[in-house]
Amino acid sequence: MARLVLLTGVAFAVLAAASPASAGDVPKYSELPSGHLSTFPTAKPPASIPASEHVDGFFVAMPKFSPETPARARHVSVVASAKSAESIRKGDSGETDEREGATCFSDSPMNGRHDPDDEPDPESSEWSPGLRTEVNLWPKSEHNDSTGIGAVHRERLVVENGTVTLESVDAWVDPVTQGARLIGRASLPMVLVGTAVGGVKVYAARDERAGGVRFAQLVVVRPAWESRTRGGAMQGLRQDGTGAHAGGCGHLRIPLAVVANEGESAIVLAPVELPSPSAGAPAKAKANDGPPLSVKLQMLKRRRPNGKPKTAAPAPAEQPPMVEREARTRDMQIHLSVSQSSRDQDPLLAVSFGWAGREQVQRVLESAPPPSPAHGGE
Amino acid sequence: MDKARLGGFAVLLAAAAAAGACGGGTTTGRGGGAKDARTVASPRAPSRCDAPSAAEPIGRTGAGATLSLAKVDGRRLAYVADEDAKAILTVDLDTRTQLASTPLGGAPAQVYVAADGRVLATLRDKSELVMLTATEATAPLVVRCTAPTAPEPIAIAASADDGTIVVTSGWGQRLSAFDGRTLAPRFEATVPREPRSVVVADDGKSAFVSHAVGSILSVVDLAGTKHEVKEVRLRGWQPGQAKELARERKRIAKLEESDAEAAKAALEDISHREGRAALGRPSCQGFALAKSSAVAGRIFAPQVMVDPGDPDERPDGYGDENEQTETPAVAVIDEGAKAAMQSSLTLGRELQMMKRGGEQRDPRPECLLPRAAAIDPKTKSLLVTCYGIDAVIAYDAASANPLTSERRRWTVGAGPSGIAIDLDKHRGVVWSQFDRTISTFPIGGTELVDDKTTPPLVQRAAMTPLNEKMPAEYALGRILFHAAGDARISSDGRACASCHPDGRDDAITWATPEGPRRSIMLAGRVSRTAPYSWNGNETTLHNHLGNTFDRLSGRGLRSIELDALVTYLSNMPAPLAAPVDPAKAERGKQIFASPEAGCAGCHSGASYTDGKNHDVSSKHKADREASFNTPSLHLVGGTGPYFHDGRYSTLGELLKKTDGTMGKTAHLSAADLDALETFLRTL
Repeated sequence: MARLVLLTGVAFAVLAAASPASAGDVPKYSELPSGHLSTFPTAKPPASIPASEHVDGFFVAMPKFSPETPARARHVSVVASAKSAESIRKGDSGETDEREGATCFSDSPMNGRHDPDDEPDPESSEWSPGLRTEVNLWPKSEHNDSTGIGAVHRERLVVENGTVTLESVDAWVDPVTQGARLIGRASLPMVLVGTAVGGVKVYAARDERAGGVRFAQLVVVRPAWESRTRGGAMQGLRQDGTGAHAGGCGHLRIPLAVVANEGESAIVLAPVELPSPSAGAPAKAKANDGPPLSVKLQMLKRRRPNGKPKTAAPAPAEQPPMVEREARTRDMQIHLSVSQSSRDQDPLLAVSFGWAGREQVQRVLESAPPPSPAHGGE
Repeated sequence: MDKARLGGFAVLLAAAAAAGACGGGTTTGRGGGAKDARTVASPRAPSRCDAPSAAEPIGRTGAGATLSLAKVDGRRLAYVADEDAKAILTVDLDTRTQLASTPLGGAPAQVYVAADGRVLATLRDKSELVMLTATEATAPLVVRCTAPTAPEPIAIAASADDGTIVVTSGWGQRLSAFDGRTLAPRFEATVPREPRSVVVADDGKSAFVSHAVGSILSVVDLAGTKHEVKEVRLRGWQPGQAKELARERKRIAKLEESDAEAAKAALEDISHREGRAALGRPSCQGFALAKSSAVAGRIFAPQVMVDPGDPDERPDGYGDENEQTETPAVAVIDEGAKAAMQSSLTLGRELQMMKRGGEQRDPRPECLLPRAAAIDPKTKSLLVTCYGIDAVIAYDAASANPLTSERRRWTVGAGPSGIAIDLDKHRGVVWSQFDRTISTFPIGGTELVDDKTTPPLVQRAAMTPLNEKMPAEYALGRILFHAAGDARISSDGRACASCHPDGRDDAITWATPEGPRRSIMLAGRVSRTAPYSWNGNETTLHNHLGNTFDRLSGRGLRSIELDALVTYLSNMPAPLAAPVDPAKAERGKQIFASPEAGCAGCHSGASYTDGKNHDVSSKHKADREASFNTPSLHLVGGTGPYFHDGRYSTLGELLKKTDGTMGKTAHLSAADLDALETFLRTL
């Protein structure tokens, strides 16, 4: 069952309700809500953090290591839930949860090559947009500067009562004691600036710092369905070559600096599922309209020995019934940009959507949708 | 257009300037008070230019195109500059039928409908600007007056009130300004090679000119008396490269204050590490410009960034086989700052690498021959037409780097040379010259459309057949010449027109298996100039093309297609020669023919070549051979930089620096050198 590609009912509903993209009326930069995200700390880390100190939302766990593993190689992981921490301690594979509202971590600055001789770079203290579901820390080693107590950034997109906020918490984490100490919290209210087919949403906010440093913070989310299994995680690239990725966590964030007479842009690749005319109904296989050969081979491996993959599978008592259907997926390219010409009083924000690849067709087993009232389900 | 008339026009302009009526005296602009002289010289009475017109422009772009939209008698029309028919076609947009044809006796390059309904057109092969008026939708336009221009007028633009009309001249290398009411000349500014599109800034104080070659965009001052020309560099950068170089240069500048030696060493280190990459990628194919109040203060210039390879190396083909030689770009020009946003010149290769391969690979070919552009104000989309792939691509015009923001594309007729937006009906209208069709399509919104369930809808209609049918071989050859993304021609999408835009040369020196080689101009120069290639290795054009396709890793053409391409190459029209001072040209001719100068010994015959190889001490360190085939001097005046490796940027520099190795010029006075150069420009 673990190899089956599942679609949850909730995600399916989100997909079905996804409206066509509406990127035409992207708000002006000045119309975006303003706030700030925390930045990479400039202070030196504490020498030690007692094991008794904790920070909400930072769960520190050490995986099981063999007795031969030297102490300097025994890392700890910081994750977002006690359940995930427990899984790590037990040696289970960590859960990933790429959906709106899930938690993402980062542990390094975006521009790690800052030269003290250079002019201050507004991006040098920005947290890296390489987000993931967990970060690892290693005990201090004299041979590696990046070991020891480290700063960890935790961010989460909170959707409540129609408002959207990117909440961030930064903490020092001691890999020896597993203690954590709060550095600071920040909150960035966001607004929806674009939606596209497949349930993709783009949020944006103004992130304005001291000294006139301004960023447009852009966050991309997509439904939590198993697309990462089929199509891979979202990944982004700013035009200066800085990478960003969702790393299996809830969202992908791209910071774009607002620079006078200049612009910054990025693209995000997001595999999405396209609405299918046959969505929700069991698909009838056609001889000449099947998936590519590689997918067919995978499907053959997935089929159960009884050789009846197309019929509803007899579900375990606690599992919903399964159906097979055709899923159309395609790589979407999301373009994000902010720029300000000499005549722009307000920086120009741009969010647009295009395709980055061919459509792929797969057959997937998924939970059967609940019976609708029209069919006498109630 | 005869040379005498053009020469006479130049004399009149010079006379007006000499009369002190203009406050000129600049090296970049001509005239300013030339209005009187032009009015006197005008072949038609100025009052005829003032005739009323029944046309009402649809939308206001302020710039011409190969088609321009208007309403007449309540009908929505497109006026189309049909260079093959040498006429302006009147096309009903709703029925897509041709209503009328207005023969012009010359090939129109662009058409523009002014706010008062008068229609302007440039006649590329007659060097004329024509003013016409409409009487009714189904009747031909009426020619009211004409004005001579510098050779090869192409693009038209107007100030906000249509009071000033500006025209670019490709071969003439001019931006000419005319009175919008009378077409009386106002001034001319000399601009670099191959100007093409032009737009006027919102404040009317400057004009922005694109160039088919040369990695630049020109900004011409319209308001002052000198009409100075500023060049905006359009060179491509790898992601992060421009910022990193700027950072390093700042650091070195700071270091210079304290330790000059260390700064010098650091600079050398940069040069060593970055090499030619520090200069950025050259660009070409600047055929189109677009601007709109919807994205005010920005001008869009579709380009192609080129990596011609290291001239010190000898790759297997044309350029570095490990690099993408051609990369499309859409430069965003800050109208106020008169500079390009660096973000728009960032090469998108790393972004492309993110995309996955195999079955999920993006199969869409790139726009390597952009030809026209327009902005849809409703969606803030920049629509670019692309030769070769016969497509219109919509980009997000609000983007700092539009190229990476492709929204949608439509397939249209062959050779889409112009585009206009019919805003009321929110549709794009495209003129495709190669198959003489009009394509219309609904632009739609900005939503991402699933093209399986909602395929792009394009309606296409052919115009009335030409009275004088174009030879099929020539027509096919023209299509093949512009075929981009065609595996028969090249493996990386390059078309013949990539290195030879409009049949000219790209002004770029490429690394080749023989050593560094400048692309050569083809139009009007191919026939009677055998043998081919810089080393004269190929005796026939067929063989030379086959060899070229090999070096581009193309599969090659069938013989019937190769014949067609040769036919097209051999019959590309040459541009008209620029007007010159006849006396000076005659003196130059005498010098050219003199045994002392020794030019005519090798540059002999009708094509000014003896067809033989000579060693003129020009061997580059990467060259395999030291002797080169004598190049034809036909059209030499407009094809710099010169020599096989582009070592001389101007004719003047060439004449001075080749003394003793290729003829003799040291004995010539400055005036005689000037005369010799003048003569060369007449060839």
